[in-house]
Amino acid sequence: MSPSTLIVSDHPLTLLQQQTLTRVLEIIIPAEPARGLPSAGEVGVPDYLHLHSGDYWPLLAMDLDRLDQLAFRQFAQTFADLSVAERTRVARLMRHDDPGFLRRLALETVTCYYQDDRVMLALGLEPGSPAAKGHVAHAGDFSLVEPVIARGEIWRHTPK
Amino acid sequence: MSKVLSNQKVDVLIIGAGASGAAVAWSLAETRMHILCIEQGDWVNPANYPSTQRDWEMAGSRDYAISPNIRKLKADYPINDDESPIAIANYNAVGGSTILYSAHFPRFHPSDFRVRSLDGVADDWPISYFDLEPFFAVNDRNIGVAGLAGDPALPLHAPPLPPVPLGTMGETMARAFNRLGWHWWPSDTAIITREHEGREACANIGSCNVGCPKGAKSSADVSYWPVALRAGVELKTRCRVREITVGPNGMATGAIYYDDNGVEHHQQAEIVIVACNGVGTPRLLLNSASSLFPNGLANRSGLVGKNLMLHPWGNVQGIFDEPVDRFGPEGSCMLSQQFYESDASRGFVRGYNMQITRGRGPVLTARSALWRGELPWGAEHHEVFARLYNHAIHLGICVEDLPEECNQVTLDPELKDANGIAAPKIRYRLSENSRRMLAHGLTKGVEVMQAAGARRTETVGPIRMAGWHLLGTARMGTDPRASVVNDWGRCHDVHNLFIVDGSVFVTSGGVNPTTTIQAVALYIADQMKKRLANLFD
Repeated sequence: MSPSTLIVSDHPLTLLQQQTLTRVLEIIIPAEPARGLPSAGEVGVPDYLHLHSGDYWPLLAMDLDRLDQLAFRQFAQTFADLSVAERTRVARLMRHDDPGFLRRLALETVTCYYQDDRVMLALGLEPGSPAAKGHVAHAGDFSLVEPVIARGEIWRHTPK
Repeated sequence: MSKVLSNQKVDVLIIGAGASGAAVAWSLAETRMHILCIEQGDWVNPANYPSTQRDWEMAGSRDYAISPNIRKLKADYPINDDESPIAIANYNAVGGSTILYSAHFPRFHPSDFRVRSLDGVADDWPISYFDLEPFFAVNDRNIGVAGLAGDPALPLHAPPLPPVPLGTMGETMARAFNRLGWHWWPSDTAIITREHEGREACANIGSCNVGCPKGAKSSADVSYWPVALRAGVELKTRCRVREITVGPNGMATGAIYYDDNGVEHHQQAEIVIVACNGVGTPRLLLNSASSLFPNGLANRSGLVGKNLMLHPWGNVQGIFDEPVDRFGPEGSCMLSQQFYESDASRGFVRGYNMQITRGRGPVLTARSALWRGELPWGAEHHEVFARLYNHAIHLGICVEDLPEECNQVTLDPELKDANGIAAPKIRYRLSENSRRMLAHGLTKGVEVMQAAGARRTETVGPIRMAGWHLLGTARMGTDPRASVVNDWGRCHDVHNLFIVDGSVFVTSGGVNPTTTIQAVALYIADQMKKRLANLFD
């Protein structure tokens, strides 16, 4: 991951909200080391939001606060201080009560995640833009048209 | 009032540098007339295409969105399509909407030109497939069409370049069509599969629908325009035409346009050719009303803007256990015209095309699955994603849309573009015939996906963001009371005004129309060249 482009003093989230965001990103897409897949908390989602979804910060901040408040009510701790199982439970409770909760964050997260070099490599893709090298494609078996030819013409004849 | 600059008179003024404007410019260049084309958009630099960037999959929702109402670029004009279930798609640039097309390039069928005679609906065209056949062939060469000769669904033709890869995906579907005994064929595609006219072959980048950075997709900016410019045609970009002007004798005298700085010019011309597509052309004619033509230029028939046809579109997605293949042209590698020709037993007249397209890239796979609630948060995310990505095949259904006067382009009373020119307003609804045809197509699409071994299928249609094919709003015909242009594209009411885009289509066929649009444009240009001595008689 490249260094963050967000200047700390300009960050639209408080430190607590930033910690909550990182932890919730890990809930959305956890790491899977066996496949070489990082968690969504490691791929620079805040930078992606900064670049493409600046209008989302105020709503995101409110939702992160709601998550933290529920964590405190349930476990008397901040969301970031909970165990993974507890965080998952809190997030599930929030989404049960409000199915649209953090839906936009999830959409932006997968958008950023599936452009990350490590993720692309794990999927068998070249990192970066597709135009860099192009690809070799399997031509396929064109002799499969033979039954179609054998059935003959199907267009309607009209006077010339 | 700002000063109007009067430009030197030209022989031919072409308005619009898209698929048809480019083809007609190329064809007329050999006359050595002074030909000027003006285009509201600009050249697109392939180095700036989204596929040169990491975030390319998302560009389709921003500057490379298919709707001008989403892009809102300087070159765009707004379109009020609130009263249509299908939103209008276009792109305003040198090359026009071919910049973003998938380059699927099937021809109309002979029956498409004889709909009234064969099926008792709509109207026959005043020209036939066989009138256009030589121009299809010229267009195939100029574009560098890839395909396989011998398709039994069409009169014999031989695309000049070998077909695009079928891939594992195409093979899977070909076997399914064969199992059902249905027609299929490798698609004619406007993608060069080997070096052609100085352009390098396709490298299977796979991002055709947001522009080809390699120039292997034959959009009009890389196929026709370089040749036309070398032959002496002049092209001015970032110039938006407000109206076509007429003299006291009722002949067109040129056009008034705004340049990039908003300065008004009057470009005089002996001949004016309109090539602005099935929405832009009626918009321009209606905006060119005058005392001689109070209902819009060339509109004594009252048909300018009417009979809009859009090709309602459906999609069937099949999810497979085995991986398909992820690389290859984004558009169609194969089509099926099993249900293209009329069969009364199906409960509708005319027919539709089925076309097979690749599944989405990783970002759009994840986003769409998440949106549908299919892709979970948590540990299961990776497993579910792995079962979706690179496991999907899409089947598009392109339904023939029959002309109806109630489907129309008018001028919006309030909405205007950046130059204050009235924007088009679309009123459109699907006919019962279209609905039945689409439902049939979705059912048959599921059937073939199941025959291919899909473990799950999903259908959607009509798709809103699919109004690419803008046809019929200045129809061709021999009767001035029932058509806008004659059988060679000249306006009945204005004898030095020609229309060469999809507006002149009498019916829509059931396939992507670009090659037929370009064949018609080349045919009209050829007719003009043959009649230069008495063009206005």
